[in-house]
Amino acid sequence: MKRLAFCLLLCGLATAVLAAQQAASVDRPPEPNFVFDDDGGKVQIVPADFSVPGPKKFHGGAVLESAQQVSIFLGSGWGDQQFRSRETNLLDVAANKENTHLGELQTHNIKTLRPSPQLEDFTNLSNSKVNDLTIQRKVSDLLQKKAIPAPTPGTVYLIFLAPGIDSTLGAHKAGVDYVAYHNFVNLEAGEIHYVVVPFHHDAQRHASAAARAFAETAMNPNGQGWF
Amino acid sequence: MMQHVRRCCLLLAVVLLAVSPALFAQCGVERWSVKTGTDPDAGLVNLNSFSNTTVASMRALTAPNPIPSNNRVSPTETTQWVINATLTQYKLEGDSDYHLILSDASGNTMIAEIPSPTCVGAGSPFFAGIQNSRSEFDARFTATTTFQTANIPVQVTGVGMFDFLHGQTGVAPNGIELHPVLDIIFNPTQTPAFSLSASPTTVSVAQGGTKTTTISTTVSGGFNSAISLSATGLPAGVTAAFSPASIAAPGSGSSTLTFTASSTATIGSSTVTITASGGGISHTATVSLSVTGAGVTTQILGNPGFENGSANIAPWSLTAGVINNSASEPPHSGSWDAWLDGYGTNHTDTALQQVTIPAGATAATLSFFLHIDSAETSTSTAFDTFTVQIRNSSGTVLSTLATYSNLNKAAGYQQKTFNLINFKGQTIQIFFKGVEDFTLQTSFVLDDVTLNVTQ
Repeated sequence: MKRLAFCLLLCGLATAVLAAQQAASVDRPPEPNFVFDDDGGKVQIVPADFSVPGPKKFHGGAVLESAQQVSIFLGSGWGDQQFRSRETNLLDVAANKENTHLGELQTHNIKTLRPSPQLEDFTNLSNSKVNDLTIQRKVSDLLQKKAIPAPTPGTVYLIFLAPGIDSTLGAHKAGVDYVAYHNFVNLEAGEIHYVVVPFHHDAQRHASAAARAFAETAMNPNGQGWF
Repeated sequence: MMQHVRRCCLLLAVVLLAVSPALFAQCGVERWSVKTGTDPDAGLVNLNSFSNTTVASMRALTAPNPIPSNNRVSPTETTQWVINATLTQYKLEGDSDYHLILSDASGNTMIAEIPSPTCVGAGSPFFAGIQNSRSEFDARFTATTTFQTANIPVQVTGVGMFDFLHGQTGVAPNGIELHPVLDIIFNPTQTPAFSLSASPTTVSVAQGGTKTTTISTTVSGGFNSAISLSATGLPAGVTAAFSPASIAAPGSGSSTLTFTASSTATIGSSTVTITASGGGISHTATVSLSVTGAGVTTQILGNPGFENGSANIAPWSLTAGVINNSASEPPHSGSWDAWLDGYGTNHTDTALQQVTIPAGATAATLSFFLHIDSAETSTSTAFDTFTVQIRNSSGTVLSTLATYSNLNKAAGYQQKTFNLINFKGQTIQIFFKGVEDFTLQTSFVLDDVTLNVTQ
C-alpha cells in the first residue's frame, strides 16, 4: 500500500512539475493582452480578469469599416436547454445593452451591421481540448460545406464554445489566461476574422467577453490597428 | 505485483514529462498544403538545383498580393534556396513546426520552419527532406514550446514561402520564409561564393527614354574578387550600361544599370539576362524589360502667356492691376504679362491657376519666365519677395517651390523650372505671391507659365 501511495505521489509530482514548467516558461509578446497562438502569430485576448491596459493607440494597420456578427454555437453542450436559452443574449453582442464597447466603435466610425443568422453545430466536442488550429479547421470545414455565410470584409465569426469544451490558445488556457480572443486566418474563401468565446458560467461575463472581443476585432483585425 | 505497479507509475511519470507538450500537437491550417508540399504546384519545385541567396536578398523580395492559399508564387516558391546565416532562436510551435529564426551579420532576420513529418501528407515531394532536416535538428537541439537561444552558424536549404503577417517572432517584413526546411548543416564549412540580385526586376522604358535598375552582389565564405557585369537579351534599339562597370573586390556592392531606348527601339517585352562573373564563379539574374511608345507631352495650363489680355484673364485669378501690356514692363513673348507689385508701398499681388495633373503622368514640369527689377539697393536684405507655391484646391500650402526677392533683380527674364511629378493625380493651385514693403518698388514680372505633362 505504501508503494502504491508512493507511486501516486510521484505521478502527481510529475504532473505538477510539468504544469509549473509550462506556466513558467510561456513566451509572450511585449504588448499587454497579446499572446502567441499555435503557429507563432500574435493574438489579442480578453484576459480572464477583464483588465484593460490603457488608452488605445493606433499602430498604422487595418481597421474594419463595418462589422457583422455571424454566430456559431459549437459543441453538443448547446443542445442542453439550460444553456441554449443563453444563445438569444449572444446573437447580437453589439446591440447587447451590456456592451460598453459600442461607443468605441462609433468613435472609430465602424458600423455594426445586423447579425447574420446563427449556426448551431452540436458536434460532440464535450470534454475535449480545442486549440486555435482546431477552430481554424472547423471554420474552414463549415465554409466549404457552405454551412455559414462566406466572409465579407466586415464578417466576424463569433464561435461560442459549449460548456465542457477545454479551449487553449498556444500555451494559454481559457478561464485562466483569457475569456475570449480574436484571430484571423487566410483560407480559400479569403481572410477570415473570428472570435472564440469559451463558455463562462456567468452569463453576463460571457456576453461581456464576446462583446469586447468583437469590438477589438473591428478595431484591430490584423494586429496593427487600435489597441 | 506492487513492484509492477511502481514500475508502471514510474514509466507513466517519465512519459508524461517527456512527451506531454506533444500530446495535443496538431498540424497547421493556413497555406498548409504549400508549407508541406501537398499543393497542386508542388511538382514545379525543382529539387535538383539550388539557388544561393542571403537573408537580406530574401527580405528584399516583393510579397505577392494576394497570397494564394493553395498555389505557389513563382519563382520564389518554386525554388530551393540555400542560405548561410546564424540560427539565433528556435521553438516548437503548436502546429508541430520547429520555428527557426535566421539572422545575418546586420541583424536582419527571417523565419525557417521544419514541419513535423507526421503533418506532411502522402505524396509530398518534400517528405524525405523534411524528415532529414528534422532528424538533423533533433540530433543537435531539443526544441520546446519556449524560445531557446542558439547563435550557431547554419546552412539552411529550403523552399521559399510567403507567409501571412501575424506578428511572428523573427518574421521578415515581406513574410518570406524557408518553409519547409529540407536540409540544415550546423557550423558549415563555407566555400567562397557570391549572390546576385536586381531591384527592381521589372523595368519599363519609353522610346527615347532611359530607366535604371540596381544590380547588387553579396559575398560569403571569404569570397574576395572583383565581379564583372554584363547584360544580354536586349531588344533592338536598347543599350545597357553599368555604373560602375564592375564590383570591386571583395565583391559586395551595387551597380546602376541604365537602359537607354532609342526613339526607334522595338516595342514589347523581353527578358534581359544579367551575368556576374568573378573568382571563377558566374551567376545570372533576369530583368523583365518592356519598351513602350514614346510618351506624349501636353501643356495643360490655360492662357499660359496671359495673351487673352485684360478682357479675359481666366483661368488665372489675378489681383487688380496685375495683367499688363504696358511698355514699362514688356513681356517675355507676345503682348501681355503679369506684373506683380512695383508700387513702392505696402502691397501684395497674387496670381493663381488651378489644374489637375493626371494620375498617369510620367513627368510634370512647371516652367515660367520671371523678370525682377527693383529700386532697392540692398545686397543683403530681402525687402520685397516673390513666392512660388503649390497649394491644394482649398488653398492649403503643399509646397513652397522657391522664393525670390529684390536681391535677385536682373536685366531681362530668367527661366525657372520645377518638377511637379509628386503631385500627379492631384488638383493643385499654381500660386505666385509678390509682397512689397512700404518703400522702394520691386516689380516681379511673370510670363509664359507652362506645365508640361508627359503621359
